[in-house]
Amino acid sequence: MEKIIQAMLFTGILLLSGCSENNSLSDQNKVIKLWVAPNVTQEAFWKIAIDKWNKSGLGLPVSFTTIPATGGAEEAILTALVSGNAPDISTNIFSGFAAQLANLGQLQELSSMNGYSQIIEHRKMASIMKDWGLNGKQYILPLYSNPVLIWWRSDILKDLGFEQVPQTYDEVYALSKKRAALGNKFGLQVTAGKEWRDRWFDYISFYYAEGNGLPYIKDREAQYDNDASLAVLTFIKTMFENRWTALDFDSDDPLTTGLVAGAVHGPWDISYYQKMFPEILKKIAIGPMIKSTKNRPQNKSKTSTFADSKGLVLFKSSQVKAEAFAFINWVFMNDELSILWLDKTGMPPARGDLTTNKMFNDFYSTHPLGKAYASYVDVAVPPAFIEETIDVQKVMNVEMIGPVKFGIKNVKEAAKDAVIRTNKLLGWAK
Amino acid sequence: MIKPLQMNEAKIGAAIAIGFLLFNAIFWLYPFVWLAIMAVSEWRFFDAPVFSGLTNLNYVLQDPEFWNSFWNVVRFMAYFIPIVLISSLAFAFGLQHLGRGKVFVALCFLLAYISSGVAYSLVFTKVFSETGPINLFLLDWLGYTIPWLSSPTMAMFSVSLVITWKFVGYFGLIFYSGLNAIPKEIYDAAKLDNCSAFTTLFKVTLPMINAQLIMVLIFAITVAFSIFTEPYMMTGGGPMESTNMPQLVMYETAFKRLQPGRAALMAIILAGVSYLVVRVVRKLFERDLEIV
Amino acid sequence: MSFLNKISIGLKKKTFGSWLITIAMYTLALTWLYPYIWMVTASLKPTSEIYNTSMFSGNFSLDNFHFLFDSAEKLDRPFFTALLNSFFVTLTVTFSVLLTSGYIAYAMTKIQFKGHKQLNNFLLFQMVLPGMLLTIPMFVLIKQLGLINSYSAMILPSLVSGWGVFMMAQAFKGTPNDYLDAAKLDRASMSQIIFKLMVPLNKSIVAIVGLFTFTGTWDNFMWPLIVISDVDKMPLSVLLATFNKQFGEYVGPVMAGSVIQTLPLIIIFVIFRKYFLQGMSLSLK
Repeated sequence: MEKIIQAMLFTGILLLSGCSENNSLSDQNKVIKLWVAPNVTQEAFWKIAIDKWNKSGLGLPVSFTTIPATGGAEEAILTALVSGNAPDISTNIFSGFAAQLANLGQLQELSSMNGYSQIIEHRKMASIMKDWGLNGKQYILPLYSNPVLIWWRSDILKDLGFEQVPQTYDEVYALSKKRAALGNKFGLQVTAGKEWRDRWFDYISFYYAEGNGLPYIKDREAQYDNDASLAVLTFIKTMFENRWTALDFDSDDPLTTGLVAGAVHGPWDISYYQKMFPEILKKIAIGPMIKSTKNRPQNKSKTSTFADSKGLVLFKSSQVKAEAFAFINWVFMNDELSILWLDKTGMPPARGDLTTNKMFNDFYSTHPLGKAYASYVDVAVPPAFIEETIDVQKVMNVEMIGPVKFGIKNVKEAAKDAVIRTNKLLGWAK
Repeated sequence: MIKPLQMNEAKIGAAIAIGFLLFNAIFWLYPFVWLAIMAVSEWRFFDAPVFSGLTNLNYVLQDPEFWNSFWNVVRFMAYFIPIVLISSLAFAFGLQHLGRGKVFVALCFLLAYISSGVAYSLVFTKVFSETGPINLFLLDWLGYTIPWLSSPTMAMFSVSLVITWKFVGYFGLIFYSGLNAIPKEIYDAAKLDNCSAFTTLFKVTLPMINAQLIMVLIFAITVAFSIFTEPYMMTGGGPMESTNMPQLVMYETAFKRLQPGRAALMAIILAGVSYLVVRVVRKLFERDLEIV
Repeated sequence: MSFLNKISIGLKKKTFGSWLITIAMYTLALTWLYPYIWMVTASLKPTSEIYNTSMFSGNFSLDNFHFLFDSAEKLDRPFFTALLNSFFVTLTVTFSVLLTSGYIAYAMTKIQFKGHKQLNNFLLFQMVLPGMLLTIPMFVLIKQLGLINSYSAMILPSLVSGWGVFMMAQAFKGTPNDYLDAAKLDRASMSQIIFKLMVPLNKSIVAIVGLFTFTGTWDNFMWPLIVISDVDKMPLSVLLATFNKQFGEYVGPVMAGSVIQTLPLIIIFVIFRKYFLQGMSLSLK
């Protein structure tokens, strides 16, 4: 009997002690721990970059792992922070998450670090950084900025007699009507999915296009009961009402099967299609985000769109902040790495000189699809910089997109309800 | 000879009891203390909790998402309880009147009960999908499809169908054991009184299995308040929060919004309400059986 | 005449009615199995054929399982490790619950000591309180112990089960003390009494405690989802869920994963079906 109790106590202590050891160890071996996005192409970039850094002997060595992301990178990072296992630097942070982390007091202010201003100047990021500030401080450095655009199947368009990609709602309606006549075929994939982040790739993209980059939340106040929003919602309503798009496309990528003629995609899909659907990629024509009328802003030729942008942060818990920032500095100042990034990931690095710098021109002359994306970087707007991003985008879906999609509310009501609930949400958090 | 042994045993018994209590002090009492602390604190997992009085309560009481999830529990019960009660009863009657293969049939139904929530949720997501086998069948034979999980009006119904699928075998067996305990003479008496089948069912059979009915009802209510895996996997709480259950809201509040205080308070409210509902059900429907 | 009586009389005569019920029950039983059958056939087909072919046609192969165990590693989804994790955690917990429940239940029913009654009341109180209250504060405890992302986080809180103690105590209570006295005269130790006498005498309840602990731990989803974020320590249920979230379009491998997640439960269920049914109707009282 006693033996068993002893054995149980012993195993208990073993189990308990087994994992608390780790914490004390990490302080001793001095390396900079970096977490990168769990994505093959980005990993490939960091592997080369970090090899170079470690061989150069310029500073403390860096070791990187992918974010142990399961549901989402955000949860993994939060869990790590809560349990005290966070790395020194993490990439793959979207603006709203950076805001949340900063409000939680977990981020190091970057604008106070040595060498920050050189980075901004070198990469001509001053205007980009305006969208990334929190109370006048900078906590995150954007790594890349992906405009999202619409991919069209040129073969399908041609068959139906469309020489050019649709750019307005009316053109999409016309195409969808012809597609519907074929039976169970759709014009455009209107909603991107059920997750909160999918709003980036449907409503918010359409809204930026229609409103010419107008913010949807300004000074912590929701704006989307305005004309631009109503136009977008009317478009969504029309598409669903006429069954020109399906309620969900959860079985396959509908663009590859030809179920839809067009869908919203980011530049990361270029390399994915190249590997998985090379034949289909050849038939893809990239067009701008759609809006109600062509060239409404007379002075601008390009349609605004949403920028899927992620950045890198330095955690306050880091014991090697100065050393870590020296590494960040090296990565951001190194132009070769910008090109390497572009080459490996296909995603435009967050720089203000993409269209003016010669080295990028050289790259894009051989990458036509990538070039289409690069040309929209200057009219691509990142999401609102608020901690409540996830909740706001859920509200958009619950109060606005969903009811419009299912014809439960008219567009005005829907927009009004969403704005009221969002404002309540934003007011609460102060 | 026996006496010292007993003394020794009493010591061992006390040692075991102390061990048991020690375990519960760490893994039960201590968490409860934290539950109370969190409910009245502003805390985001870092640093130390700061007393904030009724701030959390104020927030939770005004949170439309949380109250909507309560409404969803009501909607879920409105579908689930009648469906599962009727089908489990039907299953129990069928089983009672089945000649051969009782065990086989019971095992087929019970297989659903022991199955893995993650696995069958995945299977039903695919089976119910827009292009899944059920919709293909409907399209072929009736010419239309049903948005099982993608419409806000249907999704909760579909989720409750899946959970019914899981529980019918278990609940049915509970009823079955109740039915078997009813003395045959009562039916003979009913027959003599010329009772219709309907009266026999409602005046004899159902009152006789009152204890089992209450038991299943309480189980069903507990399930309604605590489901997590199925909506998490199948709908993520959508479309339009129509399947957003309290456990999902709690999970997100605690671990995605990092507001454990609010979530702890939600848990307390939720447990309180489910306790009250169970009490009310018992008060309303429970009777002492008296065989006259 | 009552409808039920009609049926029961009909049954004896093997009339149309009885055949109808038999056929209906068998059909329903098979319908209940439909999700399993669909899962298994889908797991054996290439993804592109799952939605386009009828259930039993298509090119059957084990490719999806190969994919899961060979290629999914590259997608940061180590299914084989997860399977081992699930087994390790589940078996440890089941073994411990059986052991601790046995001792505690014995102490509570067959040994007189001070505080005996209070312990009993505590147990009942503990069982009435809903488990959802504890999820978040338990996370706080595990965090304070520094055990987030460890096997201990999944194992420690479940080492002792109030329900298991309760069930076994109910069963042990019914075992006559004469047996014990005889064993004690033979100088049997307490462990011997519990595991050579009490457990065999109450086989089906012990089996039910073991089986439900096994299935409950194997199927546990919310708790490991909260405490484990490292793919190498994830149990299969969580790994499968995250795999589906990110690679949901790989329907074939997802179904193969579901088969693997379900299989141990089915095997255990089929092997112990006798105890299962016995224990069920015993615990239905």
